[in-house]
Amino acid sequence: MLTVLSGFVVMLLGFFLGVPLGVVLFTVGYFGFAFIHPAGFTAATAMAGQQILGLTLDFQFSVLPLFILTGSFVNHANLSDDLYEVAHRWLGHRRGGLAMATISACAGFASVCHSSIATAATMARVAVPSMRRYHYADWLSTGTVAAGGALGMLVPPSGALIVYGLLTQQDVAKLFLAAIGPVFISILVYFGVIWVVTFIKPKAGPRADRASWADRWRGLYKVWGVLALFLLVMGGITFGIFTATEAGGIGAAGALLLAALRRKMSWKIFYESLVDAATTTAMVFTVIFGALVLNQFVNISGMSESVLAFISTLHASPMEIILVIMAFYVVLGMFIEGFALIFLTVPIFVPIVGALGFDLIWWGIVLVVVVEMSVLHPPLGLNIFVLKSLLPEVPLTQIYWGVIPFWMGDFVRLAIILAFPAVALYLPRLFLH
Amino acid sequence: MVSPVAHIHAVAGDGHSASVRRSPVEKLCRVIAAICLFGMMALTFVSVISRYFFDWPVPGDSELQSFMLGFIIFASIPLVTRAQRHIAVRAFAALLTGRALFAQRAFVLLGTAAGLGFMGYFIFLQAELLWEENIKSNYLNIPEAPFIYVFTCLMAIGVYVALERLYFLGRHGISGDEEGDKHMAAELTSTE
Repeated sequence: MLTVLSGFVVMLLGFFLGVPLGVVLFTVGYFGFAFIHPAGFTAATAMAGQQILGLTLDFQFSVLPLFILTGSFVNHANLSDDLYEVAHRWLGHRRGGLAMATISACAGFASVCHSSIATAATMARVAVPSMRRYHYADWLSTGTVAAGGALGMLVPPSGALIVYGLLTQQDVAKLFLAAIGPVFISILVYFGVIWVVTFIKPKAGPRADRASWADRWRGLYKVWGVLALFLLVMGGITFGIFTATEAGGIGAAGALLLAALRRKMSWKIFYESLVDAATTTAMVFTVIFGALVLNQFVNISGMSESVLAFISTLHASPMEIILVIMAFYVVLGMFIEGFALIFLTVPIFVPIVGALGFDLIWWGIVLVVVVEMSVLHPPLGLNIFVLKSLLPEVPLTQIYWGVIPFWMGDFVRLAIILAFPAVALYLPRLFLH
Repeated sequence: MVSPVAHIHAVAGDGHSASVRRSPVEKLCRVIAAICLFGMMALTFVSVISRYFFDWPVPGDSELQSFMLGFIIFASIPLVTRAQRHIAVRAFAALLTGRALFAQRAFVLLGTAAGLGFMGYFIFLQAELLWEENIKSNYLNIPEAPFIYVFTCLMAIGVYVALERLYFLGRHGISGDEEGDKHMAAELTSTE
C-alpha cells in the first residue's frame, strides 16, 4: 500500500508541476509495477512495451482519429452560423430565447464537431454578437456559451465517450446511444436555468423579434447537412449497419463532402485539418499509453480490493459510495479538468464502481457529465478561459457570474442521471441488447 | 474533437499556420501523419461501401488500418512535442515567474524527453522480439517488426525535439522557449 500511496503522491506532484500527463502516468505505472511485481523491471519493461504496441496495433482504436478528423472538417464548413440562425428563429422571441437558441445550436454543433472547447470557441464568435445586439447582459451570454460548449463532451459521438470506452473496454456504440437521453435532459435543464435567470432579471435576456412560421420551417433547410451527418453516423451505429470505427470513417468522409459542397474546403485547409487531427490524436494517445500502464500497476497493487474492503466496513449503500465519489470528482474538478480528470480517475474508480454492481456504460455517462462540470466551474474552468481569450473586453468576474447558474443546473441534471439510470441505459438496451 | 489552440486561433483568424517555418523532418512527419489519416478515412469508407454494395470486403483492411494508426500517432508525437501541446495541468505552473518558471519549464522538457525515450526504448525491445520470432500479421502476412522499428525512430525524433526545446530554453531563457519556434526556424531549419 505504501508503494501505491507513494506513486499517487509522485503523480500529483508531476501533474501540478505541469509535466505531460502521459509521461506522469507512464512513469508512475512503470516504476510502481516494477516495485510490486516479483520479476521487477524485466516484467515492467515487457508490460509497458506490450501495452503501447497492443493499443497502437489494434485497428478498433482508429475510431478516435476518425471522429477527431470529422470535427476538424466540420469546423471548416461554417455550420455554426446556420445552426444558430435556425435556433434563433425558433426560440429567439421568448424571454431568454437567444440564450436558449445558443444552447440548442451548441448541442447541434457538438453533434458533428465532438469538442467542448471548439464548440464554445465557435459559438462565442457566432452567438455573443447577436445576443449583444438584442441587449443581452454579457454575463448571461458568456455563461450560456460556456455551458453550451461544455455539452460538446457529452453529445454523441463525443471524444470523451470514445476515450472512456477505450480505457475501460466498453462498447463505444452503446456509450453513444446512452448519451442521447442525458443530452436532452441537459438541454432542458439549461433551458430551465435560463428561464429562471431571466424571470428574476428580465433585462438580462430580452425577447428578440418573432420569426414567421414559414421562416422557421425554411430555416431548417439550411441545417440539413448537420442533421444528415448526425443521422447517418448515429443511425448507422444504432441499427447495426456499421461499427463505431466505420461510423468514424463515414462521418469524416461525409464532413469532408459537406465542407466541399459549401465551398469551404481548399487543399491547404484540407491538409491542415488532417495534420491538426493527427496531432490531437497523438496528444490523446500519449496519455492513453500512460493510463494503460498505470492501469496495470493499479491492478496488481490490489488497491481496488483494499478500497472496497475499507468501504465494506463503512456499511454504506452503493449509491452513498457513488455520492462520495461524485463529491470527490466535483472538488478535484475545480483544479483538474477535461481529459486529465478522465485519465487520472478511470483506472482507480472504474474497478470500484464495477465491483459495486453498477453498469459501466451508465458510469461512463455520469463521469462525462462530471467532467463537463469541471470545464465549466470556477476557478479554473477551461471554457471560462476560452471565452475570456476570445472576448477580452468582458471581465472574468462577469463570466464567472454567468456560469454559476448553469453550474448549479449541472447538479440537477447529475442528480437526475444518478437517480434514474434508465435515462442513459434505455436506448442501448433497446437497440444494442 | 479539435485541438483547442488551433481552433481558438482559427476562430480568431490568426492564420497561425501560414507563417510557421518548419524543418524538413517536421515536414516529413506532417506528410506521413496526413497521408496515413486520409488513407485510414478512405480505407474505412471504401471498405463499408464495397462490403454493402459489392459484397466484397477489402482484404486485410483492419491490419492496414492498425499500421496506419501507428504511423499517425508516432509521426505526430514530434509535432506535439515541438508545439508543446501535450495534455498537462498547467494552471499551477502558470502562477510561477522568473527562475521558478525557468526551472519548471526545464523540468517539464527533461521529463518529456525522458518519458518519450523510455516509451521508445520499450517499443524497440518489442520490435526486437517480433523480429527474432519473425511475427507476421494474420491476414496479409506482413512482418510487423519493420513497422515497429520505424515507430521507434519517430519516437527518437520526439526525444530529439524535446531536447532541442530544452537547448533553446537554456540558451535564450523563458522567452527563448516561448519563441522556440522562431529560434529553431531561424537557426536550424529551412523555410516552408
